[in-house]
Amino acid sequence: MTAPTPGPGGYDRPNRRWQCGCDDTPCSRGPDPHGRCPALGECAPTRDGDRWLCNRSPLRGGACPDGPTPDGRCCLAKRCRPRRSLRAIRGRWLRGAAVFTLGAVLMLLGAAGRNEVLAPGELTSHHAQVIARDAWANRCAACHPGANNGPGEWLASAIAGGGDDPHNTQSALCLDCHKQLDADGAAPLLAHGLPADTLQRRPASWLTPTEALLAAPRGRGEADALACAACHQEHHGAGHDLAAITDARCQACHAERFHSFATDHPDFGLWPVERRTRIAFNHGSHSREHYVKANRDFDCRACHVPDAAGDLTARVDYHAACGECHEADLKNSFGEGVDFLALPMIDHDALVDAGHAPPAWPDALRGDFDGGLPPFTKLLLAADPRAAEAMTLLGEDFSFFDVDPRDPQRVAAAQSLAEALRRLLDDLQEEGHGAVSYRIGKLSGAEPDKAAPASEADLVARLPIELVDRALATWFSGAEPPEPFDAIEDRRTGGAWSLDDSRFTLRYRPSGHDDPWLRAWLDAIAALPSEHAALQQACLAEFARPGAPGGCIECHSVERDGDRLTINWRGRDRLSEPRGFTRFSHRPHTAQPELADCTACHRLEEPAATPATYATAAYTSHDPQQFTTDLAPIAKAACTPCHRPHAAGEGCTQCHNYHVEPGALKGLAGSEPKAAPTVGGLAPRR
Amino acid sequence: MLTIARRRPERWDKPLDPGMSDRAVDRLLRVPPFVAMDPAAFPRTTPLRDLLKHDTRLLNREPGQIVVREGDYGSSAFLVLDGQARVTLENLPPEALGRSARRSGGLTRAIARLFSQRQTPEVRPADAVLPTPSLPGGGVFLQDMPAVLSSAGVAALGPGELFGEQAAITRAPHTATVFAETPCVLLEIRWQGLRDLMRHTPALREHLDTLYRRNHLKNHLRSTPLLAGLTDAALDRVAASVRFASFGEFDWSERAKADAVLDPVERLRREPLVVEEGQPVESVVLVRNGFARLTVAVGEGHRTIAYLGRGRTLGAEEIALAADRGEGPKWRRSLRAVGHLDTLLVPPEAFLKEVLPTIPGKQRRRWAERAALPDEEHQPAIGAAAARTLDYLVDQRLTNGTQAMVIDLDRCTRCDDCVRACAAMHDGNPRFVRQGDQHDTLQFAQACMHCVDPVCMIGCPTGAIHRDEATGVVRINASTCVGCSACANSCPYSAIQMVELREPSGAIVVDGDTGQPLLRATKCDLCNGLPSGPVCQHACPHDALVRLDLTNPSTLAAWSQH
Amino acid sequence: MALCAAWVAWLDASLARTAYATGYALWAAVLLLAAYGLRKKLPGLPIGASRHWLRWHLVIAAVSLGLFGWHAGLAWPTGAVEGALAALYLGTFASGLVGFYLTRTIPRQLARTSEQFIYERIPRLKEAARRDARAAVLEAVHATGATTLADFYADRVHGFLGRPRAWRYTLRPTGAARQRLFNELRGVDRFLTDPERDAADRLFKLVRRKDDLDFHAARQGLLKAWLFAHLALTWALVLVGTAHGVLALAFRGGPTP
Repeated sequence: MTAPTPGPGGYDRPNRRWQCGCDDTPCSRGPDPHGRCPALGECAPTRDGDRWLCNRSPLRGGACPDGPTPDGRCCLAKRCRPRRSLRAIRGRWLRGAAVFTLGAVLMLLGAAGRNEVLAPGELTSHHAQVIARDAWANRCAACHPGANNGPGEWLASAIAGGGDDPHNTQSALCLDCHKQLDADGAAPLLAHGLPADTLQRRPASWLTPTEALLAAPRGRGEADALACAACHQEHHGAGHDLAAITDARCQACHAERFHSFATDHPDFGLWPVERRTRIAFNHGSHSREHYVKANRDFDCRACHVPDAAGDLTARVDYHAACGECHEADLKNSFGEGVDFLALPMIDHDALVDAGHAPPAWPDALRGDFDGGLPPFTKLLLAADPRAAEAMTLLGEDFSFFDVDPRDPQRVAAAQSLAEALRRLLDDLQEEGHGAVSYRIGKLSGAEPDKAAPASEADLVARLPIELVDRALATWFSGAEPPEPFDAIEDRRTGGAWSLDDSRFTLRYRPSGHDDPWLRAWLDAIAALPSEHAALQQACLAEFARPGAPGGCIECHSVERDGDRLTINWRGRDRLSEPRGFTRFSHRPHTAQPELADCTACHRLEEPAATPATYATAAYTSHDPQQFTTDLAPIAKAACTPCHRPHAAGEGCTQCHNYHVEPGALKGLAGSEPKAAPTVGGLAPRR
Repeated sequence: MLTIARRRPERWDKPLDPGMSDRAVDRLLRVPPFVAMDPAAFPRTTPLRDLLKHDTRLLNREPGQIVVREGDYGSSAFLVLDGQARVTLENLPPEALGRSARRSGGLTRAIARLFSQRQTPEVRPADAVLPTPSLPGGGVFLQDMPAVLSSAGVAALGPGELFGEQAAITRAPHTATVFAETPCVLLEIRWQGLRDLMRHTPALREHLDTLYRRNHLKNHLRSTPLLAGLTDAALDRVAASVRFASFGEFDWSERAKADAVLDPVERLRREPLVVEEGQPVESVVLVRNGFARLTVAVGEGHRTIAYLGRGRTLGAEEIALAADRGEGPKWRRSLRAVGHLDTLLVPPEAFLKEVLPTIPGKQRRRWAERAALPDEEHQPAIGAAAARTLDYLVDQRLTNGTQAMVIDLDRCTRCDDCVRACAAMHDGNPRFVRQGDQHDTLQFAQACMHCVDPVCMIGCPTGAIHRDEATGVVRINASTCVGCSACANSCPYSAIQMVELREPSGAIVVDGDTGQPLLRATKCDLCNGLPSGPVCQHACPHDALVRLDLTNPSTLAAWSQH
Repeated sequence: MALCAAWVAWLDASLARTAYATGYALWAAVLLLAAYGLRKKLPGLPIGASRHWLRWHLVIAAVSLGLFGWHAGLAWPTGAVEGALAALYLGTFASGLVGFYLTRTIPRQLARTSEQFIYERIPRLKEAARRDARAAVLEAVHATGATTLADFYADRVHGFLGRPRAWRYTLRPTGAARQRLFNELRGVDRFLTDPERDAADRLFKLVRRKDDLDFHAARQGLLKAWLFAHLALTWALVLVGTAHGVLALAFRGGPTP
């Protein structure tokens, strides 16, 4: 190698910070550690007499040809500006880069407009609009509790794990706006937004060992709160779907492995008809018999029409759907009117014989005990304790015909009832409408003041008190009945009260379907508390018999709701139902040509129940779950041809909701055995 | 003050034992073998008296104390003056020799080295620069001496007996363990002194040959693979017939650098011929020390097809095949001494009678098959990389290296990580130069190869350059190095660099008399004791730098192919 | 990569927020990658040979790209810090790729030159070549008095030997200048006296040597410049990445499994 060796020792020293700056041959010393050139000669000349001799070391090249200067200095003294070594230069630049970056980051964190820079991405447009109302500097803090803190506090919270204040979390800020999730009875951060004890758990043994194994390490109970941000991740752009979630995340809790809708999803059970319809309507008999007889087409869409959301869940009303055929029967059933009050025939002698003092009673009604009381009268009497006692003795479905004059007890009861009837009439005369609402309110018990004013008004339907005056006058005081005229009917709309002096009844003639008076009374009967169950049954039976006035209960099913009964005046209203676990929309389905015909899915059961059995089997009970239906359940197989990957899709959230309103569980809770499959047959894991 | 004046150290500044008195020397001069030596035969600069005074010392050894341990490298011979020592004829287990399984503390040393680097190059603490005497300390005692004594393989060494001389002269490990049986007085003669004594006393030389024949020849023959099948008796008979022959110069390194740049024909001409192709086989050649080049005539020149190191033999194949055919054996190859070569010659008669019957038939059939094939069949083509590499290794005497630094230039990105790592482990000073002879894409960097035959030791006047006893690594004892540059000049591979010393203040230390800088020899110490091994190799990100044992040609071939 | 994908899927199925877990993993990967630089400063410790580190460096780098993809969701982040961070990561990764290419091609090119040079020595060697050339020409002038070669030298060769090469050459070295000079020297040859011809031969050698030196300076310099860029990007990446991590954790909005 002919290469000159740099510095002492012949070694390259790339690790040193400074290098000799000489261009040609470097000096043997090299710069000192601080980058200074020692500027010394290569040798220290020795003096030999009057001559200076070079004594350069052989290692440094031996004695130089030029020799020392005359004043005894080395001729090879070099001076240079030492250069930094490559490594030193690189190190300086690298430190520079690091300091620059650190400075840039710190500046950024401390700058006034840091929010713009720190925002990791655009918000979805909805949130962006909401946030835009806030002051710019306060924007981050709208969702992030610590956003207005300094970098130091951020660092601390990043290390500490954040969220040390349970009331000031990001999720709490979410719920400030999303209040509906925090409704009564909801636990917005727990599984499905429901309190932990609401959801039922399958026993672990229900899982296969593999599933149990897979489930084990992810342990997360329904009692563990889950931050909103666990699923809803913001800052992914204006069009980001905040609600998107993978099926796998559902299976974090639902341990039963779900691979595909076709193979693993349980069947739907009775869906879509999981209870008897609220309005009894026999699709089978109508389509096969009644519509044929009436020479009409049975068209589903004639009755099932789009609702406000565009889905086919609304129905046309009675007049459009049923009235054409059923209105005449309904009107006929009212006849001249419905008896509201009727005086029975009483055995005056029997009463006197029994030592009673019978009240003043019309002479025409003196004879053997006979005649029944309309249910309205019974209800009003039931509020009178003595009358109630008598009715209990006689049985709620009694008739005066059944009173044995030889039975002193029953005679006494008849006496009480007659007195009670007089008192009722007197009350009506004296207190007017208030007497009716007082008595009904007293009957319904617990919450007397809760009876809605509207239904109070409906109960009396503007009964003219003059009629009561007149009835008392003509029936009991023997005054002549006035000339019949329709002045009252003319004066008053919405109902027609009249007196039948020959039968001693106060009558009401309902206006037709959906008469408020009749509905109010039926509601009052249904609302009777359980201690009046017998009375209730007796009254309902009056309305349930064939040819009963209005025949309401023939179509409007009565069902038990807690300790009361309700009468379903209206059909199901999907739009007002609480948000449940499952959703279905007809809209995308009926858009498919082959599904445009409703019967593609909704098939009528062939051996359809006859109208009679249908009504008896399905609607005699007050339990909506006991029913027969003429509509065949829709099997999963109907969905699987389309609902598979790469077609219509089979994601959990296509049909299932995560956030469930607590009310939606009510229907499920009452019928547990059937509820679990409805939730998807997917047991939450342990 | 940018320079600092000190006295330049000299050869005998650090005698082996500063306490060696003139009276002791006088007494020594009255006992054999020194009494037989002629003081007039010694030159004026190194008189016998001074040799004894400075290069020897008296040692007292307790019973059971080990004097030399097998496997250790030694640089001294020992003369028994009084008492009795024992030499083991069989290998002892390491536990009996007091060897621990592994040296510990390497990690802490590495960390300490990492954080003690200096920016000033070649700083030595002031006391290391001063010539102060230093004595190797301590002794190791043989474990369970009675058991060793009762075993058969122990021979006695009485007064007047010399041992350890072969390890000292050939720079090889001791082959046997010697321990004191009774309290012993020994004279330790370091090898520099022994060399001078030998040079000026022919009788001593002969005596050493005799000792070799008696103590080591059989060991050597026994470790020769060719003779592995011989019985003890047969081995004795072979040993008795062996002749010694040496070729080339002992101080071959002086001409090595000049030889390396010669044209190949001239270089080959200069290498002493041991046997010549086509000539009748007069003896089987066993290589005892050094290297020999095996060549075959091709065209006008000779091509190298192998090199033979210690323990290899030549001629067995020829004699065996000729015996099968019933004709007179002829050499199929030429053998040339590369540098210095010690051989043992076994006469063909002894070989035919004692050795040939022990050679397995399989081996002989293989020889026969190989002989039937022309060279082209099993040798790489002339000029092929492998063939040229072989030539190159021998030409440059690189075959000497057991830890040669080889850099694959096709991989080396010149990142200098190796140099920096080296510097970090040596107080901020690199201990090799990432430059060196280039052969194809291989670069043989200027780093100590830790040669089989470390010629650098030849000229060292103080024994500062020595082999580590335990590992065989060639090291320089900084405290005894006088900076004479002899080793740096001897090293044919420029692997030793002389450096100017500095004080911790950065001042260069100069000789107070001449004003010239004090020097120290520096070189790779193989990062002695570091847990990671040589850091240069450890620090190479691209696997471009390795330390290879070139004494075996296959290691380089294996590495180049990976 | 497949393991990575499986892990991310598992995280997702555990209701974990994958961005955090992949973020941690990515940060760890980047730190591991950056630790290689630290390891180079700690030779001699038994912490694995550098070549193994490099191999793992490459493997982890590949894995980190996958992690980055999952972490960033295969879309360019819209935030300023995140954008800068993504740019830094991709820049670092790209520089790594470039380095991978350079460290595997340049050594072969360097090895092709007749002599190997240590980068730090190159300026002095260039200076020596220039001095030698000048001396050779002057010697020829002294010997014959003819100035043909001296004129040619002053006109054509001196500049080549003294000037640094253009930027273009640093990026893509070519032998064009050397070839041109050789041709010109050959063209001049017929006008030269014998001593001048000897000097011209010497010039040939020195021009070749200078060109080799330039080549080594350019290529080795490129390798060193690349490493510098890679390291600078790494520093910035680690710092900005840490800041990003702190922000993400401080703003995480709930427990992050």
